Parts: sequence; C-alpha cells; structure tokens
Amino acid sequence: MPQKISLAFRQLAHDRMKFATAIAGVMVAVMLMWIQLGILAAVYESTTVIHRHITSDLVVFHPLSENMNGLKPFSVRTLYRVRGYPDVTGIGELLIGVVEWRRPDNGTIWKMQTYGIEVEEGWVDLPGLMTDGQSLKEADTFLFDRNSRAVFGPVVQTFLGGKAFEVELNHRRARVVGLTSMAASFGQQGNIVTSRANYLRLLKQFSPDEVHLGFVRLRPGADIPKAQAYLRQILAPEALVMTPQEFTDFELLYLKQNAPVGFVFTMGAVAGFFIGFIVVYQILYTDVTNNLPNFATMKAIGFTDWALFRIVIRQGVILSVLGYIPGSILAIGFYHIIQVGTSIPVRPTWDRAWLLLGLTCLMCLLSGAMATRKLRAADPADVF
Amino acid sequence: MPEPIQDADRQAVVQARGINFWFGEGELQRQILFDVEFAIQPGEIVLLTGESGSGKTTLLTLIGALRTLTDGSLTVLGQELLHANAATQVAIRRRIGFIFQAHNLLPHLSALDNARLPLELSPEISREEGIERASALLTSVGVGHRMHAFPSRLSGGEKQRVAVARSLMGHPDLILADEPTSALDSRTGREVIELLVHLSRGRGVPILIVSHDARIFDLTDRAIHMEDGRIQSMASARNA
Ligand SMILES: Nc1ncnc2c1ncn2[C@@H]1O[C@H](COP(=O)(O)OP(=O)(O)OP(=O)(O)O)[C@@H](O)[C@H]1O
Ligand SMILES: [Mg+2]
Repeated sequence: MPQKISLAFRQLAHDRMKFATAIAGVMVAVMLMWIQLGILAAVYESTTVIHRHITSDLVVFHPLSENMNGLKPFSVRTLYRVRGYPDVTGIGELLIGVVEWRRPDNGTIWKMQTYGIEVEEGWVDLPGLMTDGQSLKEADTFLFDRNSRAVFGPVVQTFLGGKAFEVELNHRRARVVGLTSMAASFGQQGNIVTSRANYLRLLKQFSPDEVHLGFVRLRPGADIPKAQAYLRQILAPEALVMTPQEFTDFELLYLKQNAPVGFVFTMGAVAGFFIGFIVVYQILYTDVTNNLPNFATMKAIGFTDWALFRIVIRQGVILSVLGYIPGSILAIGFYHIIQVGTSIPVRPTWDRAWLLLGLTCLMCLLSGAMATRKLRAADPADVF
Repeated sequence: MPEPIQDADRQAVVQARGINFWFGEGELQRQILFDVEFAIQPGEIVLLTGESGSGKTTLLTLIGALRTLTDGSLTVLGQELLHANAATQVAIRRRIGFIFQAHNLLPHLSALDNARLPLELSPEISREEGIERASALLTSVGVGHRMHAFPSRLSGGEKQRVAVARSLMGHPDLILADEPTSALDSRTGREVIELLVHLSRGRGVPILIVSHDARIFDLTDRAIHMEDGRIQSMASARNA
C-alpha cells in the first residue's frame, strides 16, 4: 500500500530528543562495527603485505617456522637443490631480521624490521622497490617504509625534501635512498628494505650460507602443483614448499591461532551490533508502548495488524538509514585518524560498506520485529 | 414496540437480535448485555442513553466490530458479526466512521493529516485528492483555518470537529459516536453534534450517538434507553 502520510517517520520524529538519541545510538553502533572490522582487515592486510607482493611461483622455508617474522634460517644448499627440477628458471633469497635504529636527532633507539633482498630481480613488487632499488647496490643504503610509525623521526619529510637522511643502524651509518610502502602492524613499528649484501653488513652474526625465505620461479606455463609436489619431496624434511597464496593463508592461520585479534575485533563488531540493537529496540519498544492508544485508534479506523507492523518495521529502517549514513561518514573520518596516527592501513571498502548496511538493517529490523510484539496490546475495543 | 416489517428489516443498517455479552471468565464472568434487540434504519440518527455502566460502550464496540460477538445475532451493513473473523471485522470497521469520547487524534499528525488518515486505507485516492477532500471537510466543520495545527494546539471543540471530519472522510455507511461531547462545554458540545447531524443528514449516513446529554435529543430521530444491559425503551424524538 503506498503511504500518503509517512506515519512511521512522523511518529518517530515527533519526540525530537528521542529521535536524535536513537539515531545517535545507531551511529555509534555503525561506527563501532566499521572501526572494528576495519582494523581487523587492516591487521590481516598488514601482516601479509609482503606475502601478497611475492611474484615467485613458489616459496621455500624452514619447516619449523611458524610465520614470516618467525622464519627459521635454512641452508642455501637446500634451496639450490630445487635447480635439479627442469622447470625451475630462477631462485632468490629473502633475509629477515631486526636492527637497532638510533635516531640521529635525539639518540633514542628503536627496533626496525629489516628485509634483505636482491630487489632488482623483482621477487617482491612492493612500491618503490624496482625504481629506487638500484641505489641499494651502494653500501649502507636502504629503502624506508613510509608507513613506519613516526617514532623513527622525520625520515619521509627529510628524504622528500631532497636532504639526505642518515641514521645509525646496528652501529653502522646508513642512509635512506628511497621509500617503499608496506604497513606498520601491531607486531612491528617500521620496516626497511635493503640488499642482501647490505643486510649481511648490518647483521654480522647472520651466516651468509643461510636464508629465511627462498623464491622459486618456474618456466612460464609450467605445471605449478606438479612442480610443488616434486620439490616438496626432494626438499623434505629440510624445507617446506608453498605457493604465495598458501604462504599468505599460513600467515593468517598463525595470526588467528596465536593472536586473538580476530576474536577481539570480531567481538568488538558484535558488541557494536548489540549496542545498536538494544538502543533501537529500546526506542521502538517505548515508542510502541507510548503510542498504544494511537495504534488502537488506527485499528478501530480499519488499519490491519500488518499495516501497523509495517509502521514499526519502517521505523527500524528509517533509523538504520539515518544512523548508517552519518555513522559511516564519521567512521571513515576515524579511519583517516587511525591511519595517520598508527600507519595501520585501515581503508573503507565497498564490500564492508554493503556488509555493514546489511547488518545495520538487520539490527534495526530485528529490534523492530521484537518491538512489534508489543503491538498485540493495542486493543481497538479500548478506544472508547 | 412495533413489529418491524420484513422489508425494512432486510435493509436495516444495524440489526441486533438476542445479543448477550459477558466480560471475564469462569467465576469472574459477568453478563453485561442481556437479550439486546434493536435496529437502525438507513439515514436514522439514534441516541443511545443510559446510566453509567449500563453497557452502552460495550454495545457500540460490538456494532463497530471492535469486539467479537459470541452470542445472538448482529448484522451491520449487511454483514453478520457473530464470531466474525479478523478480516471481516477490519472490512466492517473501514465502512464505519468512529468518533471517540477523547477525540483520539494522533498527536504527531496535523489536523489535516489526522482528517485524511482513513484515506491511507484507500490506495485508489491520490495524495492530492485526499488533501483536497480533507481541507474541504475541515472547512465545512469550521476548522479550515486550523488545518496545519497539531492536536496539542487545538481547543477541545476544534479537536472534536477534526474528529468529526475524520469520521466522515472515508465516506462511511454508518457513524458511531461515544459521548463525543462529554469533554466539551454544553454549548460547544451541541454545536459539534449539530454539525455532525447536519453533515450526516446531507449524506444520508445513519448515526448512533451515545450520550448522557438529553439536551441533544431533539437533534436526533429517536432514542434508545439502556438499563443494566437491557434495552428499556425506544422513544421517537419526533413524537416527544
Ligand atoms: N474490558 C472490560 N472488562 C470487564 N468489564 C468491563 C470492561 N469494560 C466494561 N466493563 C464493565 O461492563 C459494564 C458496562 O460497561 P460500559 O462501558 O459498556 O458502560 P457504559 O454504559 O458505556 O458506561 P459509561 O456511561 O460510564 O460510559 C460496566 O459494569 C463495566 O464495568
Ligand atoms: Mg461508555
């Protein structure tokens, strides 16, 4: 039935104060859900940023490793064994470690995640690696992750300002020759990428005969699963062989099993949902209760139970939409603040926007449907 | 009481026969209406009087299909209401204009929107046409200038006039009014009834008005008097 009078809206908006409270409640719920899910996605994203930029067909690593930052070194000789397989056209190495970053301006010391790689071979296609990577051939140079936290000093500004940024890394002077962009996560504050040779200069205790992650490139058109199965066999038990996608899933599995981030942030989003649900239910329930005589009058005039039911449901929809829009705008503002403040790459996505619109509607529909139970108390015989 | 002739009987707008009605269950069950029998003919304006508690409102809610009749027979606008289901009740309610004691205007709607509320049930009437009809009706009940005011800003008399307009809005076949003037001073009350009677007569719509106010008797065709749930007498105003 087309409505000529927006009964749902009029009734809802009649008490301005309550209306504003209800919208604010939905807004808070929407924002909470956006932020929790956004951070969760960002954590997953930032922990796997390198994994997702690996261009090799397969990766090789120590079987006792639990995740990327916990990669145990294994012998390069093991890695070289893959050359025995005819489809293998190239192999590469990634070294991972932590160096001490001593700020030149105030002398404070920070832990810096360091990756050593032959960047020009393009095993990892992070931004800046291919363009600025050539400069890494010089000794004691590195690329700085522009998403590193601010604690490392004004590196990006200085570099972009055309000035040299020199810093002490594990007591060696080194300088920035370019920027890359990965992501800070909860695990580490910042990242630098350097060449294998520079890595070995910085981390002297690390044996040049070892490697953390091996890259394997296959002939174009090669049967990857077949190669993987074969290499797995010849490298066992010294090393595991995975595709980059499997390696990403492996990392996420570790994260999910060992860090309760997934649980915490999912619960945060669920809490947002319930806050919204309770606020809307409370508002709609009292609205129905306060309007019982009016609903009874409408029944007497000839409105069906279904028509009244729809009024309450419509109120739920109005609240969801009016709360969702400003809530989402605010959340995106918060995303910006989080990103600037923490370098955690929280970004709104359309998928999430639709998901949250759906959840918000569900939240309001559920509370509306529950509030309509009170409608039964509207007895048209009470009108006289 | 003259025997109603068969023909008129069939055309009666309301035909009640042997209505008994109880409130409560079991031990607490109390009979409120006893063997109620009467009819309202087309175009008739009938006053229902009786002491407080005599069962007038109960009878009105049965006629208006706001309660379910469980004993006897009650035909309203050609529809038997004994054990009527929800759909039948809704259908009958839509053909009736109700005027309540406490006006029962929706507080969140303007006078205009309150008046056109019944049109929400008639999808074939456009918004523009509804507004036009409602404003004309509000003007004819003397509150055209207060059309955009909300009920909280209207006087008691104005509110009841809006309620009269609302009751006429859906072109009802019967109007039921329960003490529509009890909240008004007697002069305003009489004005509202005069208006209602005038507009209904013009449209040939029968009215059943419950009122304590014997002074409006002269505006009606006849009166039915109830006592303790029984119809005691029927008097014709014309003969009085
Ligand atoms: N919902 C109810 N449940 C139980 N008893 C009721 C109910 N409504 C009315 N009664 C009783 O039924 C009797 C008739 O009530 P009713 O309201 O029909 O009287 P009335 O003639 O309209 O009185 P008044 O002039 O005071 O409005 C009264 O004794 C009343 O207490
Ligand atoms: Mg009464």
